[in-house]
Amino acid sequence: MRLSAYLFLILGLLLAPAAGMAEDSEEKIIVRGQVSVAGKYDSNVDLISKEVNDDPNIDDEIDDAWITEISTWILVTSPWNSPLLMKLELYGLADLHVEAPEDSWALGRGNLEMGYKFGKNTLSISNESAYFTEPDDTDFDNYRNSAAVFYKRTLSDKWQAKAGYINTLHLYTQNDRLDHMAHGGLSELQTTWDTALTTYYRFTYHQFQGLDHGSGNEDESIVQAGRRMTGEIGFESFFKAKNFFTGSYAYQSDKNDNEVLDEIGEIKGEDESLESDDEFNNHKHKGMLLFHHRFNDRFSIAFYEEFIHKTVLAETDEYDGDRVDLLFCTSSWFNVRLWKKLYAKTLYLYRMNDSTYDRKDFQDHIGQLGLVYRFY
Amino acid sequence: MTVFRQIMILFIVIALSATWCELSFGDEISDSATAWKRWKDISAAIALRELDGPDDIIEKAEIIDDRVDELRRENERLKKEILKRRQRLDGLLSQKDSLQGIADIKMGGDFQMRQNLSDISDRIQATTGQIEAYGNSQAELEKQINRMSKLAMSYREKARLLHIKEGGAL
Repeated sequence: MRLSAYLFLILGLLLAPAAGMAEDSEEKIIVRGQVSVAGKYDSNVDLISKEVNDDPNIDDEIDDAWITEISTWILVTSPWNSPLLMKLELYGLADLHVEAPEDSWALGRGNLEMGYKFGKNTLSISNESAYFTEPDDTDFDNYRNSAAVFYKRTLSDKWQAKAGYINTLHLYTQNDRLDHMAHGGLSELQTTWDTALTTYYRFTYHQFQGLDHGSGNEDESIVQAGRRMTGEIGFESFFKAKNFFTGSYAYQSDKNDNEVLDEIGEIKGEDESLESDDEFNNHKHKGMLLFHHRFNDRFSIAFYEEFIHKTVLAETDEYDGDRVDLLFCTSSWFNVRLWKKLYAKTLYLYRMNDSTYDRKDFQDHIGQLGLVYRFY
Repeated sequence: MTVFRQIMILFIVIALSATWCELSFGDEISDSATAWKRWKDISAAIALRELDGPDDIIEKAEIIDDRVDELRRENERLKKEILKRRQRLDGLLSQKDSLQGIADIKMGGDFQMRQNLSDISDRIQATTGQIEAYGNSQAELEKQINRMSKLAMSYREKARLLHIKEGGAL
């Protein structure tokens, strides 16, 4: 299974030139994609807090890293006028650590959606599989699978609705007691006020359960029965032809029967404070803004801001239902079209956590410079 | 509550919402890309008849000219719509690129992040389709403009020849 991540990456790299050729030909299937290579610097790759770093009894230290990142993305879609809907998306990413090759990891993700259009309405099924390779000393949900059935309905020129069932599977190759599954439902209403402004209102519900792998004893699973509800509102604004502005606010509440459960899985060190699905027994407020401005055909910039207020309700030995995390992430991009479809991209990202539990604090700076070749 | 029961409830909710949608709204949605194809048919008004004199033919050529002017205005509108959607597509692709980068840094991100990325892919697909639809319609429209312009010219030539034949001044 580990090879599948690299397989997706290689497949994407091989398909990329074909994508370019297909676009130029008379093929009606629409292909888009990009290949990129970048150099990246990460000042605190394991997201270690200063307190942990300074504690002589703990082995973890703040480490920086130089990383070469290769990624590819391909989106193949059915002809626009076909009633049969097909969307195949392949994504591959490899983060190759220069000084510590053993910390390198890769991600392969494939998503296939098939459906049928009834006029402006669509019934579709989709499956997405993702596989992460990982450094050896981790408990991480390397394999994630998400299957979904969606019904999308255009109610009028202004209103669209979406409802569906989603099943997600998280498998931890190094510790199967962490394996779990979630059944969920999603309903969404989208309003297109005009081509310049779209708003959406989304509600999701997930029912979690641990996997006993046939033992019949669900108590062996660390994740027990649980419920997660999320309400989200968001907007997308495209104005004056050069500006894209999107934002969202979400409130999430999670309750698991295993009351001491807070987070599971980690890449290495203490970085489980990253936002992931594998956090339990908490309340979260999440806000996000993304602004993109295109100066002209050659230059563009983008800014991303994210703020999360997380109250951890788990009653652990370290904190007793009163841990609060304030996570903040800001990022900016500057893109330059160098030649035809070849772009240079620079990225700066800063992220931090200010927690009432000091060992969860971290600060991290990431800088990236790379080349992107786009097939669109 | 068992998982099976919850799944059944979800499907019932989906079915009810679909039914509600069916009852509340119709399927009539205007398709602005091909709106010009549904304009009033003028073929009867411009059809030449045996007894048509030069003035009648010129009058019909003027009807064609008026339609060509309308088609040209529609052509400009379609060009603007295509440009607007191309710019929107450019923004969507950059938006996806940015969010994908953030998701990668978060080792895949959470459900909301993945859902947003999936929605952006849907919008990219939809916008690409709209560009194709407008592009195809606009290509057809340009052919129609050329065809009708030539038709108006041929009518004028016919009127001129008929005028000469009837012994009138040029």
